[in-house]
This record gives sequence, C-alpha cells and structure tokens, in this order.
Amino acid sequence: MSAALAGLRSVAAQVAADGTDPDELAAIVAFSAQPRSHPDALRRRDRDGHRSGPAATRVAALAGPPTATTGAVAQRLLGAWRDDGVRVTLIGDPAYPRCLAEGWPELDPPVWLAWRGQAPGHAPGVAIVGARRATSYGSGIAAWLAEAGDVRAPGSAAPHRLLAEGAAPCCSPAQLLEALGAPGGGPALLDVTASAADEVARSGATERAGAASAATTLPPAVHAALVRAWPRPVRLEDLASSAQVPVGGLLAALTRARVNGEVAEAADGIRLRRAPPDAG
Amino acid sequence: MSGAHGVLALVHAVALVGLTPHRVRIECSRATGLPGMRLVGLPDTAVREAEDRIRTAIQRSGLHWPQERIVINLAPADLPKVGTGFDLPLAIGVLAATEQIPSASLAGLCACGEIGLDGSIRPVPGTLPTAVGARDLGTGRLLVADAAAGEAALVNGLEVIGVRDLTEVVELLRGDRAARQSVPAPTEIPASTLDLRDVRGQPVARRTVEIAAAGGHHLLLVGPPGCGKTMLARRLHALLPPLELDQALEVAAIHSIAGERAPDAPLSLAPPLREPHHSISAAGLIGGGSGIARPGELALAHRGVLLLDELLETPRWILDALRQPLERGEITITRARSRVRYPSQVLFVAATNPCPCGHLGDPRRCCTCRPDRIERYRARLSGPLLDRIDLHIEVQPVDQRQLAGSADGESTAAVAARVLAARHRGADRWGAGILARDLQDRQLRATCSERAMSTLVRAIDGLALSARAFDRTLRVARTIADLEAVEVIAPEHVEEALAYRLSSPVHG
Repeated sequence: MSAALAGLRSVAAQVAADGTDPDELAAIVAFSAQPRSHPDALRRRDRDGHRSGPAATRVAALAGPPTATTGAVAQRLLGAWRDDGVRVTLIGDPAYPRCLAEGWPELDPPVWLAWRGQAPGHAPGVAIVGARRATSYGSGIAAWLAEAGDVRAPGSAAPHRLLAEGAAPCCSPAQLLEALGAPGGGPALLDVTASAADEVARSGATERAGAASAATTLPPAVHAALVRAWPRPVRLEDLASSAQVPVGGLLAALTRARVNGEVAEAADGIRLRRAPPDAG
Repeated sequence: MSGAHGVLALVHAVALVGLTPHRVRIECSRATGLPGMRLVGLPDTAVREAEDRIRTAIQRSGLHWPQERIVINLAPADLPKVGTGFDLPLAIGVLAATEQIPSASLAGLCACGEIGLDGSIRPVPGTLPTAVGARDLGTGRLLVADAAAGEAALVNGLEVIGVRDLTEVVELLRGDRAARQSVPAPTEIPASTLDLRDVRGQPVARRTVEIAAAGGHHLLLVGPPGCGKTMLARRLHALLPPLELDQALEVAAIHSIAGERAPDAPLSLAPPLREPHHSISAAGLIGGGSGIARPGELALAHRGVLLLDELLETPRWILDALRQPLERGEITITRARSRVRYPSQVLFVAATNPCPCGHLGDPRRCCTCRPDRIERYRARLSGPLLDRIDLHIEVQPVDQRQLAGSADGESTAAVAARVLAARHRGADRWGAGILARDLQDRQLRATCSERAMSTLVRAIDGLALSARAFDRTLRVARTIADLEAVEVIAPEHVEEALAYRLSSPVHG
C-alpha cells in the first residue's frame, strides 16, 4: 500500500463511526471524488444485483480500490470532516439507522450518513434530507416541525435552505429538534447528506487553517461568543451588543475572519466555520 | 417704434425648459383685421387662453382695450411657451402697443405672473427659476406678483419689483409710482423632531446610517416589518447638514417648477426628504408628462434623501429607471418636443422586507413564503441597481427588553456633528460640495495606503467580488476614514467597508 493510501485509511479511521470499516469508507469516498460519480449509483447497481453480505461491503466492492488521484481528494475531504467533528457511517453498518436502510427502500436511502454530535440512532423518528434544494413542501414540513417543537431552526431565517425534499426515518423527534437548534445547546446534526462537509472541503478553509485552528483574528470577546454559540450562529446585532468593541472594528474583524475562512455568514447570523478545539 | 400700424412693443419673458431658462421676446403690434388678439409662437392652451383674461382684466382696470386686431409673436417661435406666467408680459405688451404705457419703460424689463379677471397679479409656479433665468439672461428688472416677490428677491443681482394688480403696473411703468423694495424671503432650518436616540439597539444599523450620511452613500435596509427600517431611514435625513444658500436655491427652484413651493414660504435650508408610495409610476419617479417634462420625485429629492419604502413592491422596470440617474447625478428626459435635464444628486435609501410575508430572518416569526416566491420577489431588484447601492444592511427586530428599556444610543445631534466634521474634511481635501460617493478612482487611490489596497485586492479576489465593488468599497472606506479623522485609508477601513457589501440580504 502506498503512503498516500495509508494516509487515506488513517484519516478514514478517524472519521468512520463505530462498526464502519475505514477501508470501505475510503473506497466509497474516493469513488465519489471522481467526476460525475455518486456512490448512490453504486447502491442502486447493488440493489439490482446480488444481495448477500453487508450492503456497505458490496457497495465498496463495486467502487473499487482508491487510486492515487482519487485517494488524495478523498483524504482531503475526510480530513475536512474530521476537523469539523463529523462522523460517517455506511449503509447497512451498525450506526446506520436500520429503519432507513431496510424499512423504506423506496425512499432511496443514501450510501453514507454524516453527522456531528449524537449519532442518529435506531428509534423511529424524522429527519429531512436534501437541504439545499428544498421544495415548498419540504420547507413547509420544516417550518411545521420547528413550530411544533417550539424551537428556532438554524435557518428559521431561511428554512427553505435548511431542509428538505422528503422525510426519512432517521432519528428521534427529540434529536431532530435538538439538531434544529433547540435552546440549551447540545449536539447538532450537520446534515444527513455529505454535501455540507463537501462544501467545507471545497472552500479550502480547513486546509488554510491547518492544525492551528485555535488561532483567530477576531477580538477575544467576539471569538468567545462564537465559541459559546457553536455550532449555532450568532446574530450580528447580538455580537455588536455584547462584544464591547466599536461596531466599525467588529465589522472589520469579521470581514478579516471571513476572508481568512474563519467564520461563515448565514442568513441567520455568523458562525465559526470549524468546531472550536474544545467543542464536544 | 411707430409706423402705419402704431407702436411695436417689446417685452421680455422667460420660458423654462426644465431648469434651463430661455429668453422669450414678446413682440406686440396692432394690425388690420377684425378686432381680437392673435398669438403666434407655439403657445400652449394656457397661453392662448390669456386673451380672455387679459381683455377682461384691462377693461375692469379702467384701461382701454383696442377695438382692432392685436398680433403678438412669442419669439423664438419654435420654443414651446407653457403656463399662465406669460399673462403679465402679454398684458404689458398690449398696453404698450396701444400706447397706454411708454415703450421706453420696457427696456431691460422681464415680467412673469398670472392675471385674474379683476386685474390682480398672481404668482405662478417656477417664479424662482424664472428669476434665476432672468438674471442669467442679463435682464435688469423682473416684474412679478407681489406675493412671489420675496421668493424672486432671493436671487442676487436682479431688481425684483412686486406688483399687486394691473393698475399698479401701469402707474409704475408710467412713472407715477415708485417701485416697492422687495424683501428676500427669510431662510429657515426646520427643526426635526426625529432623534436617533429613539432607535433602540441596532448598533450596526446606526453605524451604517452615519456612514451613509457622511459620504452620501446609497443605503439598502432589509428586515421584517416593524424592525425599524423606516425609522432609521427618516433619522438619516435628520443627520444631513444644512444646505448652502446656492444649493437651497437650486432645490427650491425645482420645487417651484413642480408647484410644490408656496411663493411666500421661507427658503428652507434643510435637505429635502421625499418618500413616494411604492405604487409610484415611472413618470412620477423620474419625471415626465406631456409637453415639457416635470420633475419627478428623484429631482425633487435633489441634495436630499429619496426614501423608497417597500422597495420590492415597486415594479422592477420602474426601479431600473433609477440606475443611470443614480450614477450620473442628473436625469435627462427626452420628449418629442423637449429635452429636459434635472439634477438628481440624491442619497437613495431603500427599505424592503426580505420576502413577501416579511418574516424571513425574523427569529420570532416563521416565514410562510415558498422558496420560488422568495426568489421571484427578490428578482424585482436588479443586480445593476443593487450594485449601485454601497451599503447593504440587514435590520433585525429589537428584543422586548431593549424596547422597554431606556434609550441606549447617541442622539442625532452627536452623530450629526461627526457627519458634519467628516464632510468638512472631505470638502477641505476635494472641494466644497464633493462627497466621497462622487470621487474619482484617481482621487481615491491617492489617499489609500498600500496595505489597505492589498487588503482590498485580496478580499476582492478571495470573495469573488465584482470590479465595480472595488471602487465603491474604496469610496465607503474613504468616508469611514473621514469619520475617524484619518487622512489615509487603512486596512481596517477597507475591511469595514467590505462588510457592508459582502452579505447583501437580498441577493446573498
């Protein structure tokens, strides 16, 4: 095994959830790194073929071993996930919600699930996937869930951006509400697809930050407020009110941090791009 | 001049095409033919109807109306003559042609006023620009309605004579009565009751408003209903320094043309604030109408604030009409018979909801709009127009504790003092009346440090901003530096300026 592929396996091992084979994860992620390749196509191919053995293993076999090129891309992607505290499980693995993998095959479950914080679990529940191309129906469901749970979704500013093309059983309502940003903190679901982590990786922010992710160009009070809120965003007005720095200086510092890839601005506020080192 | 047809009387008047004055020679002569008055030289309906007013007024004033044909030529004949302001010079011409007043008394005389059937002289819209025009065209004396004399007397270098009725005009021109001294209308700075202290919280929005006022930068406020967008926009107007006298005259002249200025009103030194309803038409916004285009809200807000509340409720094609005038600071309206130019150096302030229901981004209310509706709603604001707005700010609702608490911000007086000081710094550097938004690229770079420039270049590259954003960001940075009394633009000024452009709440 080359050094590059050994490195890939090492990173995959840090990202893979309990019960997920790092080699299988590495193979599937590397396959998805190829142009116009999506691992869900492999799963569909697998569904039409033989059905013996764990689903993830069969899909990984179809993906084939990583090459040096795809391995490098996959390693960068997995590294970004690792830095963001993301865990990944593959379809059919112990951490993958059984009811999603087996109960509703017509829902076309994804090959992998990526999350941050508490694992989805196997209890019946609701999650909504396909956040970036939500239909009005999906937005309505998201809004209804948010209102029913008396919580503010991290996108209540833009619920249509947050969630959903369809509903899939994946986690409990409590977990979902927690993921939507229930007051009191707690883990948050990054996304049930890998797209969000993909986005982070593509931005190159993690590469630029490297290991010194604790370094910041923000005023200490502002950085502390963002760390406290992590992973939820903080409204600019709230930062300005509590930061004890002039508004002009705050805006300049936020721009600097944004150019450096330290913070991201969402419809509902500003958040750190990466998990702070002491985040759970 | 005497001859077979008697005297050829010559009186001067001023025809306005927009704000541009044109000298009109009113040539009046008796002629053979049936009794009556014949007007030539492109008079409009109001001018043609003057015959009835003049005849009745002359007769009721105890003067003689000739029982012969009177021919009046309004030269240049190809220039449209509009409005009832020609009544007075026409009547004077008839009286001179019939030798009831000496022709010699008309030398260097220009007249403007409407005549009532009882012979009274009434003010007309546009008296002030007429007076300016009369002076610029080299006329020594201007005869106007007494009620408008104060307004006309604001113009230096012109003898303004106010008259109450036709009898007084005749006595004056016969030399039987001395002209009354016209006193210029007083100037005033209306006290604003709006104070920035009334705005609770909103530190970022307050800072943005201050920058907008200091540099004249256009401003877009986006937020849910009731979060204070309009409140902020109106208080922005109160931050603007008073106008200089010549600027106030220019503003008053536009308002006078539009008929929005009472002739006896004092000259206001306060910058205008125009708040048209979002159902406004294109002609209402940029000016228009048949014949000679009248000024629209844009020109009426010249040197002041044009506030378009509920911006995205206005059709896109109407909003897009603002693109060129906002860039050039003037609007040219071309019609079949005229081409009119009005100045439009405005501070454009727009306020809008983020979506049709208004609650997108509101942490307390849930937005009920479908994504496609939001996209369509936002598409009403074109990219090029958005690009011309330097400061984009999202205004969030203030929480209840802040609302119930005491005022926590600076007063208008304190902020206005900083704005004035920043403008003075700019004026010392670039010249009076030049704002940061009007600066050229070369002027901007001359006061920008190398570090600031490299910061901007790096940000433009890293954040994929347009080239247009480059100059506009520098202009805002210049204003921020002036507010901080700093001569050279530093990196933090550029970074703050970028913050107002980076996250457009509408197109972001």
